[in-house]
Amino acid sequence: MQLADPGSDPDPLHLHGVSVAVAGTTLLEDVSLRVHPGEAVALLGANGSGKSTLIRAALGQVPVVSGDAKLYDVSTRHHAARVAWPRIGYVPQRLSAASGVPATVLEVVLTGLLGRNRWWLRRADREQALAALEELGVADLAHRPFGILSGGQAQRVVIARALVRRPDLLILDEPLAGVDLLTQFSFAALLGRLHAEGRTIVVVLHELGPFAELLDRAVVLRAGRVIHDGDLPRDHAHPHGAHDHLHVEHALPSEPPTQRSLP
Amino acid sequence: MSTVLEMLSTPLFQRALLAALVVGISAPVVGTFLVQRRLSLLGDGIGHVALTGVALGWLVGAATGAARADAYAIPGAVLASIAGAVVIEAVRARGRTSGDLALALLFYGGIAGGVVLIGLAGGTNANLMSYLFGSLATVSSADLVATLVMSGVILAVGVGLRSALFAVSQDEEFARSTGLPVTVLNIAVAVVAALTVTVSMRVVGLLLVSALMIVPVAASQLVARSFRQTMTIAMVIGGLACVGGLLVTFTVDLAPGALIVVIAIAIYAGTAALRPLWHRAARPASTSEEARADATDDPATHRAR
Repeated sequence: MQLADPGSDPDPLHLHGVSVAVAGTTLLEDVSLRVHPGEAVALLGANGSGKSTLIRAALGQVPVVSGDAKLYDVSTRHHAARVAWPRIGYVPQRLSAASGVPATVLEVVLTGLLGRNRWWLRRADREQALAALEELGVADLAHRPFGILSGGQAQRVVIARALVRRPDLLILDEPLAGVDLLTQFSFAALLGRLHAEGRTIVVVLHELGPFAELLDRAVVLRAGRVIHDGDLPRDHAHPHGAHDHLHVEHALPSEPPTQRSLP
Repeated sequence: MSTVLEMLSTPLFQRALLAALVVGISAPVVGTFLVQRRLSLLGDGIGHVALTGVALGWLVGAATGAARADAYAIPGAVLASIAGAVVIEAVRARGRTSGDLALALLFYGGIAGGVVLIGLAGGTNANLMSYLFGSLATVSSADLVATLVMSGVILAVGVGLRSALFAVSQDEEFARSTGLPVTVLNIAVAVVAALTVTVSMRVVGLLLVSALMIVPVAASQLVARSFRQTMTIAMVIGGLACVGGLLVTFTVDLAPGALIVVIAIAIYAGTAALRPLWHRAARPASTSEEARADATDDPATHRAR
């Protein structure tokens, strides 16, 4: 796929003085942020600092009370219908809870091909979805029920669901949560490849981990405000010194396979 | 046996059979989306509201001096169901904290409103019974046409827009980010659910409408592996239960609506009981395949299979 010339393309993500309040609680306050074409940016911060809210404000999924959020120069607050959604690939944080009805991995990934003017699937979509699963090394899961996958497998599938769109801007919300170290490195390698192809990447992280290598820039939030926007934190595996004890766990695979198989 | 054949040849029976079949096939289509969204009881809620609509229809009929007192009952039910479904969807979309109570109010208000309004219209609670418990035996040609048209809409939306509705029901947040008009599609589900309640009212009655939408899906998802398969099998189960129930009640004097639901639940129970055998048969000698499970291939999946 031909990517637009970075020189002429508008900024994939641009927040200008965005404040978000839900039920009287301010979650984001006067946040401004520009992500340039081809950049790979990390959003860092403690739990509750507003990282996910920032992402969802950019996507027009939370009530923005002041300021404006734009994707490729179109406001998601005011003109959501005109946003270039086919250029956006989103990997939400919360994996959708297993629903009451079984759905195969392939069916889940195929939803990534739908869009504003695309309510139906085409015959060729299947190949494309399988190719996306292949890219994440889980093509063999295509016909398994999505609801029974492990955390790491499910994360691969939802990344495939975003990538199947061939997005120019990839937004990932905590893609490393509940994912073992080996998988984290494979995600980093994949994102590195996508970045090298010229795609823009915005990734919410609790810690940089294996992603440190591919990121150009870090934005750190605290209590709904941007407190840092620039170089990656020097001790980049540990952006928040106070949380060091938490990161020890992340050094271990979070899903020992032998234990999960026990009833 | 000859009496059964005679019965099969009567137009009344044929109309009832056709109505039962199309409703049995279309109700689980909507039910599949409702179960997927964990809104299994939505049909019950709409059913309660529909009763007010039926009574409103009677009231309008009485006020305008319509030839038949129930001439506007079905249109009233359609409008009230759609209004109720859209309100419920709006409450759901806004978050669940206040939703629970709002829904409860809507449900009880629906039943109580229906009973009060039917009194105002000069009717009695007995007039509401056929709506509450179904009245397959009295399907007129006009009823049949209305049923066929509404079922057609339900199938067109539910099956025709399956991919988009699946996406929205599966992960609303992601669906929104693809540009799908999530609100429009959610309302489409609500409206189609309302139509389903209204058509099923004739077959099983408002009190059992939800069963016709949900029970076939509950049985189907025990054996299906994909969403598409779940919907297809549920349609078959729904059709079988409706036609089967009706056939039995023409030889044994039982209420068809209730019997249809009992048959659907029996199919569910039978499927649940036979499922272990099914899974054993569908998994021949997979142990050696599982043995090569690598680090990324979590054994949890094998266990759950």
